[in-house]
Amino acid sequence: MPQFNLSTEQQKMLEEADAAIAEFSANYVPFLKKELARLNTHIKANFYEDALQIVHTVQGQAGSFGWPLITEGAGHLYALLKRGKMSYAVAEPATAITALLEEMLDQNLQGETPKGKAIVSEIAKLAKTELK
Amino acid sequence: MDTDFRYTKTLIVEDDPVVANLIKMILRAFRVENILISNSYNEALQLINHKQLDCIFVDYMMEPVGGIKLIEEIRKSDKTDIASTPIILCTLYTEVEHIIEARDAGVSEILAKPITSKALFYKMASAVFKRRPFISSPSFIGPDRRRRNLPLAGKPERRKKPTE
Repeated sequence: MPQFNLSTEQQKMLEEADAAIAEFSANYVPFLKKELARLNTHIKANFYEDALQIVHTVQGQAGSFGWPLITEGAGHLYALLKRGKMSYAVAEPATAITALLEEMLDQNLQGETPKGKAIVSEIAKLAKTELK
Repeated sequence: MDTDFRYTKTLIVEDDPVVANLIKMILRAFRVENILISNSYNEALQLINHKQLDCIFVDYMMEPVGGIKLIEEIRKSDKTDIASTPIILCTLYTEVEHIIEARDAGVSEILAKPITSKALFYKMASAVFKRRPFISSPSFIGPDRRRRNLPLAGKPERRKKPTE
């Protein structure tokens, strides 16, 4: 990305933008928990298209609000659901991944913590589950 | 680079209200005063054709009509000022094939999701204040896809007229 040196005013605008995002981020976790609960419901009911929509949305949002590992984990889940949406076998690994995403929220693993990265590794493995 | 965004009339075309509000929040911090939001292809086209816009953010994945289709429609406008409006595509998909698709549809810049204020700032500055020449040809309409001015290599220049 081509960049240039920022003036004081431009730097200030960026800081204000980040402060506004940080303020909003405090409200993001309850919203995300509800989305993950909805996601779980869709997966258990085999509504994979609806599940994909939610995962796509979470993937696109979470990183902006301080949860880049949730974005990464959601990306793996998306790939799994895309791959296995015609297979009932996808429900088990998909549910396990959703539970791990919820765990990241419960443990407040914002940013790029080692613990969060370890969970994402686990998610990545689950996402590669062979589906029959 | 001077980036006075105060008078940049902006449209956000995004069906995820969380992301739409995020972009709006960031734009407000950048002092943008005039911000419109639309979550549909048809409504967006109405706004584009009736409001004088300086920058449009378009989400790649919208239903039922996606962002690429909207961009192509804008670029086909009979009015040059509408057709040449800076367009920033917001997308999760940054693999090469998607970048090429977006570039060939005529986007000005691509902003990867998840969006950060810094990335949005630089993309908007580039799209609005460092506009590339606008090309209108049978096979392509949009900002010049060449981003670098490299000297010709190999055989001497054979074109009789400079390209636009």
